[in-house]
Amino acid sequence: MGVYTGDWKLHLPEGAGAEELFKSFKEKAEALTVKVIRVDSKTNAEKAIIEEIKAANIKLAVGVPMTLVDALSIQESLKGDGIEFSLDLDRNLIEQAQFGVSQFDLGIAELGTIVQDAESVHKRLVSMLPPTHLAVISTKTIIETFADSLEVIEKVYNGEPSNFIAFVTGPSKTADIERVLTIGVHGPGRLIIVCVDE
Amino acid sequence: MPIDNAFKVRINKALNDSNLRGALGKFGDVFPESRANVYQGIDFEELRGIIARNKANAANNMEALVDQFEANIIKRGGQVHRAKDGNAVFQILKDIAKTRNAKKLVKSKSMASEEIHLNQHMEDTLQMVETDLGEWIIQQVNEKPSHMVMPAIHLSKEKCAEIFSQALGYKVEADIPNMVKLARKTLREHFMTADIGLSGCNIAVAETGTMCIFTNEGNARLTSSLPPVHVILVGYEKLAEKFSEIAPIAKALPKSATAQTLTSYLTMISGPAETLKDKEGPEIVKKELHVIFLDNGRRELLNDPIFKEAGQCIRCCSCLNVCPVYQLVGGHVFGHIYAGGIGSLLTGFFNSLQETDKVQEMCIGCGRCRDFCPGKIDIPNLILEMRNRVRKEIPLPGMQNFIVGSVLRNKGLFQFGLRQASWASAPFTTTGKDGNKYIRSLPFGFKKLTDWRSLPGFNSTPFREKIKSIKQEVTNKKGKVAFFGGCVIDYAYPEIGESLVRVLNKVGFEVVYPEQTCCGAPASYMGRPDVAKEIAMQNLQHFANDEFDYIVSACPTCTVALKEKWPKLLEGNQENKAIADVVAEKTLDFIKLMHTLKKAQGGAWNEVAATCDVACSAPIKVTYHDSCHLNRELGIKEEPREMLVAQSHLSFMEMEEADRCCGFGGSYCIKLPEISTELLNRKLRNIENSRAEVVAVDCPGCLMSLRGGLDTKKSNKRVLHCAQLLDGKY
Repeated sequence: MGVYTGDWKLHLPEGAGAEELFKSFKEKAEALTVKVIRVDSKTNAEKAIIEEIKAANIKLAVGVPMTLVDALSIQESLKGDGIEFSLDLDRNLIEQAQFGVSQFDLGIAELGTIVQDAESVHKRLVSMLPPTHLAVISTKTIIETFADSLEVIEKVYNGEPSNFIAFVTGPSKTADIERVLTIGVHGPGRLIIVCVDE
Repeated sequence: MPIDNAFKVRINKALNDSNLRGALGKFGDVFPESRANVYQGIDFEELRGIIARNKANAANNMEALVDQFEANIIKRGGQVHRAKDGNAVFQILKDIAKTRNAKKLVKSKSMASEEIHLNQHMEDTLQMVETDLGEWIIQQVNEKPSHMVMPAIHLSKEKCAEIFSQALGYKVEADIPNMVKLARKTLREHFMTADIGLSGCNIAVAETGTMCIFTNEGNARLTSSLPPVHVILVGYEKLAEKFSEIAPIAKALPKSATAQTLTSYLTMISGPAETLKDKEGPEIVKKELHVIFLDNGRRELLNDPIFKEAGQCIRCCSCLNVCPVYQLVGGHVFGHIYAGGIGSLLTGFFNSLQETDKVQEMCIGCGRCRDFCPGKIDIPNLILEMRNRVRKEIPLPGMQNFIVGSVLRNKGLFQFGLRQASWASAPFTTTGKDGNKYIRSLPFGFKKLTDWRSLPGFNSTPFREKIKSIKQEVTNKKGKVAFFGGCVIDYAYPEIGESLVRVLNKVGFEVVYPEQTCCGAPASYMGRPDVAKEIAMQNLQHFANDEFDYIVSACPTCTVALKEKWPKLLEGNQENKAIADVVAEKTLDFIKLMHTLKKAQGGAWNEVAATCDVACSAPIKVTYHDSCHLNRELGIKEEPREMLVAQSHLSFMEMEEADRCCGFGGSYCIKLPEISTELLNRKLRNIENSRAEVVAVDCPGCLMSLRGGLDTKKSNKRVLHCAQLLDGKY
């Protein structure tokens, strides 16, 4: 059994989170239509998430427990705006939601990719089923290369990777009909990444 | 049965399908550039070297790795099955379905499941739903994928709209974003209600029991997350030893497949993760995870000393994307389940030699795929090996087999035949615009040989006779060169041989023409290495002479035969092999020899050319067409260009797609003139669009094809061999 031995942050390569890595991460992700928002604190991260959910003009959003932000305080704030930010993890509720929020463990600068231990089924569903997904990551966990990410995983899990690890690079897309690129097939068509400097 | 009329009907249908031609053509045109962009700054040779090494290592240790993999999955609580063939997979899946009382299965892309016709065999047990958009579309009309990465590339959006309308029971417009939306909605319902999810797998890491799945749509994530049972179908060739070996494949696969840096989703599964009990929860339970290793010919492939190389394939399909023949006909003609050149190799093992028989014949051997393959697989030469095996079981039809087996093998009969051709064809020969003799139309059943391009008139005096009367004046003699003429120069274009003699005389070499026959290439390319070997033997002793400083050929196909094929063909006999090695060592293609000689003299190439035969007041505009054998088999690309650029009376300019195959392909243009015509016409368009007056070539086969095509089109452009250009014969 893959044992979660702790914080991914403890196993990052030297130089992780450097300014130029964030810059490259943002550039690569934006090229894939991803919206990248950088904030300096937990409070501002919550604020940014609230703003994004409000701007989406929706009634129901869902989220999983996170360490980088306080989901309850987001829930409280959105209640005032008549938006339900549900933390009750029910499959059909997640399917009905138009917005999902979850936390990711790593960013890859050369690709604009985010990586998550997705052993938790709810984490997966929240990031897969709704048409918009907002991922929260710590800016400090942005590393340079894909190969680096494999090394981190090997260290975090002591050579026995978690049962489900997800790499997400931009929104869901297809080019199966006439090679025309179309965003949003089975997964979210919109991806927002909030990078918290904490 | 090799290519027959029924197969030709399918070829012509594909060639006349404007949707198919449009889609494949457009993609084929844009792919190389987008791929090059995404690979910028990456050392592709180094990367593919690593992938090839890792994959070869995994093939060599396959049994140990699969045991290690299995132990890891079992330790996590998953189950591992080993299936000998499709039937075994069906049984395993039926048992799983029975135990779970399952009714519906959602499937994300798996070529292995296509290969064994999984849907068809499971229909009675389960509702099988494809969830990849392209796969779902073709499933509705019971078609096979025509491309491994883009299964529905052969269908227009209008055709897709018809399929959507039929499947959903109401009119759907040919609006791509809307169709994608409808597919999302339709398939989401299936995901929510499916009992089993089945997916393929791109990499299976033994060290950690990790399976990697690359997708863009996200269907593999849903397939592996929503249903409480996940079945992963893995081919043995997907094994990797170490977790770190994921990196090079992840670096190459998306770039080579769709020119992406990484697919939207890369899912790594190392054991049964959480799932919702009875699909909906709220109780969370451990998923039921089954891994099925599929053999179905893979172990034989991976244990085969020659074909194990095909196991280095990472299924990116860039070989299809750059294949000039695939671009014309698509995967339903050039392919069985797996498409294109690599497909014809896999089909030979995963399906049967019968099923790859016609498919492998489609390869023209231009070698372009090899340059792009991230698994570093020599696809065209493996196809020749496959052809040898196929032809052992399924011989060529009577006449072709007689020509290869009897005429080519018999020196006297072969030369007699070629000489007869000169008088037999004389009544059909006329003079073209460029002053050369052409056969523009042949009667009876031979019409197909000439109605798309003229053939050269056979020369009444072959080069082997002409050389006897050439007075060689060699001042400042440096040595002796043996000339391997080859059939095309000998009988159709002896003047190229004459130019070669004059040019080599001028740089200090006497030219001798030892007794010789065909180089054996036609037999090699028709799946008869036995005949090629005999022919090599007939030639060998005449060229194994210490007097010769060099052996030169002005036909790259012959050069490849002498330099690469003969030593391989004679591997069984130590003595002959040693002689063949010496011959190979001394053999150079004409242009390479000239380049080497002049380079040794400080690169004064411009001294080579004679003054123009005709008065040329302005430099002659010349472009260059690369012969596939010279460029990609022998790696000679810059040398002819450097030689041409250095000639003061020539003005050199590149044409578009200079290194794209002209469609000649030796016997290919007789076997598949339909394909050759299309390839030639594209080349002719590029020639017409260039500003050059003269096209320089190094291959008399290409020259024959290009001159014939230009004659048919009444063009003013002329085609000359580099030997003629260096001889100043314009």
